[in-house]
Amino acid sequence: MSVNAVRYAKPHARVRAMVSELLSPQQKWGLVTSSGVEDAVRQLDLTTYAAELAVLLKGDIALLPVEKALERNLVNAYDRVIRSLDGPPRALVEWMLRRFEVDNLKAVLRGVATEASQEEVRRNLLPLGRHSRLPLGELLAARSVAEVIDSLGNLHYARTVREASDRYEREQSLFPMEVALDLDHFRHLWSAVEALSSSDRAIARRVMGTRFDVINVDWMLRYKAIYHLSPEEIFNYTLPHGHKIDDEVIRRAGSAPDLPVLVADLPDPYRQLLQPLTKESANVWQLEVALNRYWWQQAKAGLSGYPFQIGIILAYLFLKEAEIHDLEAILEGKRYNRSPDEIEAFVWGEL
Amino acid sequence: MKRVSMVILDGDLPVATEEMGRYGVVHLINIEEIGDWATGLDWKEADEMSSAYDSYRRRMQAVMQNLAIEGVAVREELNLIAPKMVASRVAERLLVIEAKVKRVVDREQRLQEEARRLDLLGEQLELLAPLGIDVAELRGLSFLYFVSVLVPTENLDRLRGSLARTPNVILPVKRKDDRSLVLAFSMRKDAEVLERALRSAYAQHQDIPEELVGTPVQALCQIRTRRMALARRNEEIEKSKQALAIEYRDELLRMHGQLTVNGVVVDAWRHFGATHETRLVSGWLPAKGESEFLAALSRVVGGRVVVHTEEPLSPTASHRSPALPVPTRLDNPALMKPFETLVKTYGIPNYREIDPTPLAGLLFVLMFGMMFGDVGQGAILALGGLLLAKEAVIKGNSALGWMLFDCGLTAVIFGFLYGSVFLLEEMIPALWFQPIRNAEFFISLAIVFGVAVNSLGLTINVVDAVWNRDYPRLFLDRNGLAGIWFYWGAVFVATQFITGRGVALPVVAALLGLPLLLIFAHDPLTHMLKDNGTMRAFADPLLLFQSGIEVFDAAIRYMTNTLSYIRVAAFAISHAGMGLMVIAFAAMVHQAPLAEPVVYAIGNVFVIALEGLVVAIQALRLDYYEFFTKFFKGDGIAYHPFVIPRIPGSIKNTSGSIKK
Repeated sequence: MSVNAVRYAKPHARVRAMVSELLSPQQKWGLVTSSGVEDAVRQLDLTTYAAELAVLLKGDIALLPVEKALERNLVNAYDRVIRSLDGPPRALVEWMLRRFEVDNLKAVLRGVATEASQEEVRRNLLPLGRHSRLPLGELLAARSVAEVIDSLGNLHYARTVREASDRYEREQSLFPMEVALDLDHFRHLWSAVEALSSSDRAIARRVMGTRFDVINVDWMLRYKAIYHLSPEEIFNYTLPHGHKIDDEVIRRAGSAPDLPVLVADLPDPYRQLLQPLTKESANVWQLEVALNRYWWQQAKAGLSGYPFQIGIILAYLFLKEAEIHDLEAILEGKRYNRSPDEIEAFVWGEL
Repeated sequence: MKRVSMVILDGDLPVATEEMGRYGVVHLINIEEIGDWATGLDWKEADEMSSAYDSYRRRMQAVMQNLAIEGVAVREELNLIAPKMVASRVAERLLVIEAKVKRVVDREQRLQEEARRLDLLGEQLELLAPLGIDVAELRGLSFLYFVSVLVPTENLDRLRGSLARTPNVILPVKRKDDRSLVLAFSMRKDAEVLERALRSAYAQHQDIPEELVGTPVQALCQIRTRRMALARRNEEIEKSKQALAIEYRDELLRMHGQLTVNGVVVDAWRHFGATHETRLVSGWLPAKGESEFLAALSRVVGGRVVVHTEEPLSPTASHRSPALPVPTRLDNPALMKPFETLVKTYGIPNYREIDPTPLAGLLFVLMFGMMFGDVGQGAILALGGLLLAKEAVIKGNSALGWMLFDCGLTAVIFGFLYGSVFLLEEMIPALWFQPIRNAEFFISLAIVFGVAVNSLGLTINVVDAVWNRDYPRLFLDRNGLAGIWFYWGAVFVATQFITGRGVALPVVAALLGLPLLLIFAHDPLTHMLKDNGTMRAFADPLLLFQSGIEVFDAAIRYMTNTLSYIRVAAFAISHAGMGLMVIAFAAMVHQAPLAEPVVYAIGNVFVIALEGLVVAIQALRLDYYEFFTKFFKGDGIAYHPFVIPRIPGSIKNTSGSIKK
């Protein structure tokens, strides 16, 4: 405990300060009820996002640069946390940030598959700055998956993409390749959890395990309802680790004939959370929002308790990611003149 | 350093770039970073050209690798500053050469693929050989379904799990790199399930082809025959590659040189801004030599350049457009240059902080000598260092060599002071004292040394805070005046108690309590200043809790930082202790001829290697954790000026440019 108090004194102080910068429910509600995108962005300019938004407020406000600015803010938040850490906790947070590198690589692959221009692909990339190891110049110039693999050089993604390229060639679908990249990422992430000290590991297994549960349930719902995958495919395309979702649950879910049965077979709290919605014939996205709201509550609760441990840092980063998601959802809602109730349906955090 | 902004005409760009690269003094700043006003001035064509150059370099490298061509030849036109022209020439020629190389390489890859497939088949058949059945029968089993596949090894467990409700056998036969060759069986009625599971585990089929017939042993013979034929075809391919290498070697090397030079130029251009007819260059320039460079630039472009220079902005100048980080050029005398590596490993000093290299270097060498005092072993280290420094045996470790040389010399000096030669303590008289016989004195001395170094670190922090007008840090930081007050107060109180004189409680409160209170107030006060003077921070329980932790941490840290220096004495004493051990071992074998000197020599080598390394780590640790943490932030960026690589024997040609 005392060792952790010394180790986490600095990161904890920093993260506490950063937690205080998260938007309050009132601030977010102010954005939801704003008169439009411009009004919302001007409100955001009075918050912690001011530094990134400063340049954009000079002229007409377009949504894409604002979203990029928000994402830059997220990367900066990760950067500040990473700089305060060292050793295995730092490696874990770096792996968490690599999730966005995987998303960028997927965007590049989609660009290659759809023969999109470099500019179009670049627009979809999350600005990771110094944290990106991808050779973007070469990747954007790549004209085939084989060239993407060549460009990736010694990065571990090359092997994953290569292994899935055979299926891409045969099926002409990026789905298996994207799943392979996701699975590979989460496998590494879990290894980073396992590399923590014993006290941190116990906490991270619980926190990250719950995160993996939420992802697995989300994926199972999609695989079943949208992709109509077989039980074997569902099993192979889900994460092998978690807190309450284990192999047997995934097997049962895979064999379920429809979503209501799948949900009924889930352990609590997921069953309790989703069953009322399936009875109302809710869409998959509504179930996803419910799952992410549960996850947001878990992260929020994770901020309290003994302060000098990894859980606080993970909880903050998850809340920050959720906040960026919510802001993008709100701005998107404003762009299409949606009512506050409609926008609220897409928001994960408290309003 | 000075901020320099230059506007030049597009037509003058090649000569201006060449002059900039020749001087090698401008640390370029990306146009996107210089301020809001430059939004939209980024030079998109330079970005695209840079991507193209990345691609050419990669393709060129692939071709050269395929033809086993190494090295860079000295050829004409290597310093041609004309990226667009070079790009179009390279693109044209590369297509031709690549096509020829590709034909050969594709054939080679197909052969290799076929060879791998045959090898894997061979391994399967060897496993099936004892069965003695016809391989065709395996394909036509009535009730069983059998396949052989390559599966990513990390997916194997998941594959088994996905088939938990289906009768199956998953038999890994061999691991190859990250994949496993697996024989998989199921009931024929479950064939589809097995196939789905294999597919979703990213398995690739490696089935026994229909053209292989007979028993596994017979099939193995057929595979060996094919393998030999493949080897013969491979030899032919090697000859074709050699012929291509001879034909294109010179041309490829020349293009490689041109790509290298022009690639550096294109990478520099990516930092520039652009309007229709002009280019905007922004960067940092050392104040010394500024006018000389600018005059030379003006001369080559015939005076068609607008230059604006300014001093770096203060970091607190503006919230909206934060001051750009100023690069730091470490500029130490030759003697101290090698120790810059020590500092850079920790961090680059920011432009406004004191470069700790000279002090860190001196302390490192001094502490190394104190811990490793031995005339003989020190002399060997110094000699080894000199050989490395002069690159007599190994190249490229000159800086490390000079560090080793300095450490060896101080070890020799302390060896004389301790009277230690090659671990022998009685050969020469100690000019000062013998560590092992004066352990208590040495430990006290090490603590005094620690107090001195800590105080030096704190003093540097105070000077740095004054220099940067950072008053909260100067007065309230735990490494500022409040920290010095507490630290020296604690040293005084401790000395009084140790010497039995005692200190009155009000004095203790004034010397220790008051400065801790100031340190406690540091964070809330800083927040108060940021919040326009509101006292909210003083009512924030979390912030107050953090400040309490900070105070506790500061008090503990001063004590541990000081006691940490005991290791200086401990390692010197352990050096002498190891000497006693080596001598004792040598004495144990003195009856065998030559054994005693051999054991003694091996012991010395062991001590030099092991203790030398450990002592260096300890000296580094004391530098980093005890000394640097008092004042050194190390959050600066290194000065990397734009330099065009020099390739000798070149003919210059400065025509050509690219338009926005």
